[in-house]
Amino acid sequence: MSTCTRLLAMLAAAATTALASAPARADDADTSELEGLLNENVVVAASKTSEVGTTAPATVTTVTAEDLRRYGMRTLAEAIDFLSLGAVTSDSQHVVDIGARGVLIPNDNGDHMLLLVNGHTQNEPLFGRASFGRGASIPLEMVDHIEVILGPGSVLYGSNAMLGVINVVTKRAKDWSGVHAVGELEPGKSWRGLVGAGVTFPTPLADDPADLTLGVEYYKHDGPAFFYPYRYGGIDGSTAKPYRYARNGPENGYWGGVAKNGYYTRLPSGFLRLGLGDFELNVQLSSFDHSAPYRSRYTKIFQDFDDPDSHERDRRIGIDLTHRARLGTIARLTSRAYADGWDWLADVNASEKAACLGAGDSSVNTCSIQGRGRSRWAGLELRTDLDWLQTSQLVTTLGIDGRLREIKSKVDFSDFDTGRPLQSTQGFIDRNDTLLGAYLQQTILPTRWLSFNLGARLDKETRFDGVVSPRFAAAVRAWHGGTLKGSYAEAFRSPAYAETDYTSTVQLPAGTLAPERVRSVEVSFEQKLGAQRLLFGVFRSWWQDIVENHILSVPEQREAVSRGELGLATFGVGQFRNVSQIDNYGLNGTFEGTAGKEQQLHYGLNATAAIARRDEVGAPSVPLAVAPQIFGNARVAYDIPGDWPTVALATHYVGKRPIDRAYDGGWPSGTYAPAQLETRATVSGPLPLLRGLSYRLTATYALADHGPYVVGAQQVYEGGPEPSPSLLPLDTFRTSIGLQYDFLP
Amino acid sequence: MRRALLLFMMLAVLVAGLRLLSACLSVEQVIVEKDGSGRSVGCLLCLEKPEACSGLIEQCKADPRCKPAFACIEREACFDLLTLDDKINCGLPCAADAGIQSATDPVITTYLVGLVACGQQKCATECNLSEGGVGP
Repeated sequence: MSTCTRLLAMLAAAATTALASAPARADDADTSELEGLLNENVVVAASKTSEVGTTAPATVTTVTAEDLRRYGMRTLAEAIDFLSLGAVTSDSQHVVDIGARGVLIPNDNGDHMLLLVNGHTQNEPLFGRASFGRGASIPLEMVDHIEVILGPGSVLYGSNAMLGVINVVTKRAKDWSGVHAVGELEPGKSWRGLVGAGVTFPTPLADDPADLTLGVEYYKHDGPAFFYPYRYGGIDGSTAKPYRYARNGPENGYWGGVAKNGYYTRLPSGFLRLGLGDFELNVQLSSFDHSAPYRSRYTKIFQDFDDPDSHERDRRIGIDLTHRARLGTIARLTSRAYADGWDWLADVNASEKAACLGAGDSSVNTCSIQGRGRSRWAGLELRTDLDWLQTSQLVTTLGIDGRLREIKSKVDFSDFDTGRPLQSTQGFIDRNDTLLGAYLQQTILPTRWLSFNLGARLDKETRFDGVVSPRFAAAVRAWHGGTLKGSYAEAFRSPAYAETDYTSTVQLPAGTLAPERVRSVEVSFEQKLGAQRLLFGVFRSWWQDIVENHILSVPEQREAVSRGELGLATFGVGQFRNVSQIDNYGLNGTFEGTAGKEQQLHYGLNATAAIARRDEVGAPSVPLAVAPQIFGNARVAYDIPGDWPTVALATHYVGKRPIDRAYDGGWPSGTYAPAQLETRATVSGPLPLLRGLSYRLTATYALADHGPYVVGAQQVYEGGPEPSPSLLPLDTFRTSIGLQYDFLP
Repeated sequence: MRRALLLFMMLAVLVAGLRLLSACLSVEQVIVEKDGSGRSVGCLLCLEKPEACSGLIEQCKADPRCKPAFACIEREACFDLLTLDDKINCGLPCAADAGIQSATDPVITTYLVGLVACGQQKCATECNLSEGGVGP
């Protein structure tokens, strides 16, 4: 059966179930009324049904739209850093890394954290990539809340949910009614414009009015123009002269300077959510074009310094159609058909002769390395919730999720000046595969003070045997306002196709790769005292079969040549393997609440201390590179009554951490990045004279001016006068001014 | 009837989206044919002349790490390959075999790169090397 035929069959199945079922009376995603009633955070993603965060089978932070506005958040990554518990991001300019509870794997493309938007998976299959920075492409003004769910979550979602699940839930029309225009400016650095609307309107197609929210946003940033210290890179073996690091630069072997052109982002995006009767349609579009001026260990081994033509672009379209229906008195059926397209373009220009040596022609002045990739996938998920007693005390959830995927990628080498191809395509991937997941979850609430959540999911895909991901959780409301919770969960990550299928003259086929696995146990205690909430938890997790690009030793390389797997062997031949394990444990806590007659004062504190060590056979156990072991955030805001503004202060702290080349760079010193304390002050409120116009001013100050990534030509120490690496420069002071106009009919 | 129409409309959006997805970036293979048969006979003979680069070659042979690498390069006649890239791609496995694990190892930067530089000056024609390290 062809891919197209199978897809049509799946759509037909969705259509049949939609037509055969009665309209749903309750919408399980419409959580706001329920939340208001309970005065408690309601989460959806932890068990795919609305439930209070206190008894959800995981540790959950809910970041509300009000928090996002009040504390001046501009990206998903900022919301995670400043407002969530247990998760942390790290921006290398090339990519935003994300970690949780002490585990962070640099440059993993975010593929250990599952990112959902209204339940729709964002991680794509070529790299497993999900963007948590600007590339997430979700206008924050349209976000109703963000659920940050810590710990393994494959029980309901399958691959990638190893660190956890982040679900971004967008607003409905009633929460964003009218027409909105937003402009925000970081003087000299960036600007952003958003136009959107939230409307309800009658339609002959359904009894209830249609509910439409949509927004179109454009974000652009240039700079700041960081100074990268000059470093001497040595002699180019192809010319016997010092290296040249820019197309029009001198052959003097020096890398660095002020980067005025090569750090930018261009990001148009759009989002639409339409509720029509029992149906809900979500459409996402974005094109994330960005560039960073420096070469790095992982992403740009060769790259001209400050070259604006060296850039990366991710384009994405996602369509998700959900139908909710009641089947009789106890059953609810949710059918979801989805289709996604993603493509990737990476142009890297290098004026070192060595860059094109591998392509067999170092005669060109500048070699252009062009990565191209594409993945498309479509699927159908059918889920039944059986509320046996019609009291939510005994609910069985059964689901099946089938997905067809197409993955393609390649790397080409050409002469930048003429466009002439230098070598046949490397790393060509052209695969189609099928994923099938089936899950079962049982929630049991035998009494008002006790609840259980048991579940398991089986995932099978073309490349791997089936993987089972169980979860067991229990919550006891021990006394008034106090809840004791414990859980055990497992999760996995199917290696990305870039790991299993990429080969080149310097990259051996991966051979047999097993999915990465993680097991986790955690216990937490939560106490509510009026409007205050206190949570304390301990956790431990064991990660195994972590996939890394193993650099072959000389004997391994020699063997590969003798087996005929390598043609012309050279230095640095890699092979993706299941290399390492991670042992991780720690504790985290939250204190948050509101005070005042009208709850004008808001405050919160999140803190995590964790130990995570990487173990590999024959190698010493070491802390994870880039991953902080102590981090957290604190915030306070006051809504001055009347038309006065809200003033807010948010800060987040990241302890010192090993740099990305701490263990393979050979640096005698400077292998730790300094601790970072970043503080943001925000003032926001309505403008007094113009109805509908509001403002937001932010000022952000960061204490540390360097991050944990080695930049430049000297990635490793090979002698010389500089015993410490050059680290990523950071913007220590930023300000922004934003205006929003809400036209309310 | 109304539900069927609604369903039809929603599926139409989905199918239209799927069609849109098929208009993504092209990822087709590029094939480049190369003639790898050429040889610049006489390069090594030239390099070994006393007035050319024999001094550097002797220094290399006196170095315990450079000696096996150079012996391999001689055996494989790497210097007689047509282009500089071919010469280097032939020579690097020899260096790796000799235990040299980095392109910035002093054996490479001192002796082998030195030989290329010397060849550019003294044996440019025989070795098909010009000042820019360029082949034909």
